[in-house]
Amino acid sequence: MRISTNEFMLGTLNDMLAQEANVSKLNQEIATGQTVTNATDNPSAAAAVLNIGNQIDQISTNVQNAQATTGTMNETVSVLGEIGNLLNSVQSTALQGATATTNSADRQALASSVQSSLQELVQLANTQLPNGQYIFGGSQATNPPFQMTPTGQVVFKGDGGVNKIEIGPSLQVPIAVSGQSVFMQIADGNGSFAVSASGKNTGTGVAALGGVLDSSLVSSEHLANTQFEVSFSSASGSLNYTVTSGTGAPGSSSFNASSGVVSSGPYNSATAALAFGGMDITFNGTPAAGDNFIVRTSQNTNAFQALQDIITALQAPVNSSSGAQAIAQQKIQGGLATLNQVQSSMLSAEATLGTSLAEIQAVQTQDNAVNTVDQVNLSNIQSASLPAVITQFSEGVTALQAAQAAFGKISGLSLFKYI
Amino acid sequence: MGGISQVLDTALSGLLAATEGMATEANNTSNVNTPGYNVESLNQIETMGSAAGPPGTLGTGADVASIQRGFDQYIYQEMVQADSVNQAAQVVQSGTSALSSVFPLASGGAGGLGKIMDGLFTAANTLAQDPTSVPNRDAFLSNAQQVVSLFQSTGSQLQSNITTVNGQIGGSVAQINNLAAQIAQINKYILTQAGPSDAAANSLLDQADQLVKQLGEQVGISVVAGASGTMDVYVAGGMALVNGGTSYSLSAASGSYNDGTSSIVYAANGENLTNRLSGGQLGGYLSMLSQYVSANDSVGAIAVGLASAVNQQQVLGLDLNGQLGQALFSVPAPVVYAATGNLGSASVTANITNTNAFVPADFVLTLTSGGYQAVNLTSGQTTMLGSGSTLSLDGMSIQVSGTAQVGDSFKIEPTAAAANGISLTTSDPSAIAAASPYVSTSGVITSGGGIADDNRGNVTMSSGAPALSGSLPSGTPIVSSAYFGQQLSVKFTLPTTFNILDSSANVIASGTYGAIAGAELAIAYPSPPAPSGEVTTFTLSAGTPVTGDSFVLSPGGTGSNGNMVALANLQTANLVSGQTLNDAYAQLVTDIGDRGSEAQAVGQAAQAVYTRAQTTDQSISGVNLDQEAANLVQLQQSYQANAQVIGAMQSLISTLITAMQNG
Repeated sequence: MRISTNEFMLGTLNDMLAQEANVSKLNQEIATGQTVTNATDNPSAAAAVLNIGNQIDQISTNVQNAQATTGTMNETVSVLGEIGNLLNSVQSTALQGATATTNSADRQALASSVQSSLQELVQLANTQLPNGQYIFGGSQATNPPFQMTPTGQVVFKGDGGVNKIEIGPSLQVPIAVSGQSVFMQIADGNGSFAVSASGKNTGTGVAALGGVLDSSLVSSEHLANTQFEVSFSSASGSLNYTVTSGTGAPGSSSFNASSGVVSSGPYNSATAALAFGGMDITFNGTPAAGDNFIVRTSQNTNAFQALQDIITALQAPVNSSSGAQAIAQQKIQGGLATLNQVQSSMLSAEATLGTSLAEIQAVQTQDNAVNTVDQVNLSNIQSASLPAVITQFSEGVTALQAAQAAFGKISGLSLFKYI
Repeated sequence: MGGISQVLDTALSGLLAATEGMATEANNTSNVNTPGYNVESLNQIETMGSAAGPPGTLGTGADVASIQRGFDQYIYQEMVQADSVNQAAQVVQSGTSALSSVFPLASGGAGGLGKIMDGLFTAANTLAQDPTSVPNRDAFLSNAQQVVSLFQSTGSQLQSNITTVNGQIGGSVAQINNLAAQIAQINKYILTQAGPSDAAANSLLDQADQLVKQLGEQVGISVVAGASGTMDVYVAGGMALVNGGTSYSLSAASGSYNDGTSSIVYAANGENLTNRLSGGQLGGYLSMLSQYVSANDSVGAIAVGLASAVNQQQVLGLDLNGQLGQALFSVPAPVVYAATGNLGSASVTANITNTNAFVPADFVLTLTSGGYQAVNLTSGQTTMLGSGSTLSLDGMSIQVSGTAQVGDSFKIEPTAAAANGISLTTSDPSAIAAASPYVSTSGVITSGGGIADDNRGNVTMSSGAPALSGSLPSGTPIVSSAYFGQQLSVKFTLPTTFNILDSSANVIASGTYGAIAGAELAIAYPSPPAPSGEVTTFTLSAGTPVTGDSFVLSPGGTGSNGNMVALANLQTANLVSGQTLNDAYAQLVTDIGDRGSEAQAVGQAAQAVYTRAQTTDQSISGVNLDQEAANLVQLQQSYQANAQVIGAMQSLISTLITAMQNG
């Protein structure tokens, strides 16, 4: 075919321009290390790049959340641990006070030791995170959640608003534990029942709560706020007991023995145990006729009140009569039982946090694995394979040089040179 | 019998023909670089001998009958068409490439809208970790500002693209009109100066053909050859641009809605040709205009999706001062243009009420005798909306005030101004509503202001998500918004009933409780700022309550992060046409990339087709200097040969004269 001179030149020029565009694109890939920098390069890779980029962001946010949450939780666990130690020392102090040989002066000293533990407990309960938030305050971040009134009561000024944070898709974990549930929702006594002795008791009997024998009965008693009055009387030289049940304060005029006598009979001092209302109690020592014990379903108290009760029990002056000794014993035992519930509350909070921490750890491990895969995928899609690109670049440069050399030859071709 | 003088005449004619040939060669070589020049060659014929002579009479030399152009009408037309298609393809190719560079992809899309929005949600999560931290709040706001800035710069870049391409359309139309007028002028000249059967001068034809090629580069045309080499030119399937000596003009008008986008109108009858034109740079520009508009609408829809979701979440939580939050972003409302020819007094406003039901597009709303009709300008879909003052369309609510007449129409651009016009309404870090409106605590308020829990039952209360009051189970007690912000309490009056009390212990609502189902209760948000009917909900768990069991509902404290966690979760929520923000963005970028990569393929193919057509055309019309050199040598020799004949004749004559002198 006849080719016009212009076409001849232009064709070679176009070839060179195409080579130059190719070399320039390859050069850019080498410089940036990336093959997909523009959606037109590869539209389907563009979607993948954006989606993987988005997933990487989400995962790194989740990991960040998990790390922040882990920090807060570890702080909380360590505070709970300190509180546990404090409670253990209160427990051993109270146990000292429970021995019959301790005299009033000693008991006062023990009481003031528990008093300072109470102050410490309030401080620990008001622990702040490094950012100033109160660990146990719920959403109330500005004031200490636990405040002691002049009368020694501790009131909860926080709330139940526990923050949660997302550590995975639709997976939210609570950052903290509710201060209310840790400190303020303690069932007193053994958690089901609490026992107290009448102040007029003369015997040496100290009642100890046994276990729950009939849990459904106990829970209905709990809802009904049932109370039992155990009274001892003498009958023809032996000791009889009578258990009446009802609601209202036993022994007072408001006591309503609606259910009447629940159980009665001769007291067996060998077993020293009574069972009624789905639970049992045992007596250390021997009650005397006329002694009264009140067993009621547990009520909510708080950790601070539990210590306050132990202080009050230790502070009460005790004379040497065996009855008074037993009454004091009963009070301290009651305090110890409640203290045990407080300790359980701390342990269960720690366990909850431990479970969450394990969950966070697992999620984080998974997040890191997914992140690694995402990074690899992103790099596979987007990163230039340098050996391949550099090879292509060299080929491109060679081709361009060849085209230039060809142009040099072609441009010299003209018949006019020869005529 | 001619004799010697005839031989001389014959040789002279050869000499002249060779000279004329060399002039042609000179013209060819001098026009080797002239665009539109068609190589010329001699149409040389033998001169007839005398009719009176014997049979087999000699010819009387050579004559140049005409100078011919190397030109093939059909091949040239094909080349013009290929050029036209290629011009459009090149405009679209470079346009889409520029468009896609607005949405960067390097390093996982770093610096793009997707990543910047991710940054906002990361900041929201960091804020949720510690809502009391002012640095966290500042960081959130600065991320929000980055989002706003990127939307603005993306929007303004797209709008400046729209402005530029509108200008290019205007320029192209002006050039089309100019070229059409020039072609008509040449037609007129051909018709008046030359007789119908006369061939027009080659240079005039070259010029006309070149103008046609230039016109084809502006817009797709069809050319019909008229008498004596005149040309009639048509666009848009039959609208004449040039008819003989008359040209008709197009105009780039702002359209009947005066909405700033160009429409191409056939000036003679006002017909809108915009959708019927294709090919040429104008076709490319029109295609890019709709792509820019569509990209701007889509980016705007993402801006609206993000802004309205964040704003809606903001007004459902409490800020650092314990007040309900305010909208964080401000986004321009949909733009409505009334057609300039509207007869009625109606004016129309629109707002997007459900970003998930909305699919980015522009609409034309027209009152027909059967009520309002909406045409989606992207999909072409027509929807009848009925009549009335409030119409609903694809997640939009359209308000008509005044009275429209049948035929009145309005153009609605729901998100065209959104990306460019989005802004942040506050720089106050405490204005971020991170806290839940209410938190629940079991127990009662004690005289000391604390909360003491004496509940004997096992019912617990948990806070739920905000909801619309209509979606709650029937019988759910809803506290009036008048009490919003007060500390409230819930108290079981029986194991099956409960009261809700205000801070002065007045009963303000009551509900029933089922041991298995539990119970729901709700507190109404003040509206505005919250949407009408919006409530925050609480659930009393299944269980056994005891009369007197109580719960306190208190406004979320500064340490509460409930609302911020909900805001952070918007990252994975469907907010834009049923997609997440990132999915909507990825789809937009992929669509642009698809079109761009298609445009590249089309551009390369069109370029190849044009190059081939050009090569074919040039093989006929182009100047080849080697050929010219060879021709020149040939003509030179012919000239020399003829000169030799004259020389020989001269010596014959002088021989004759000498003989006569001697004789």
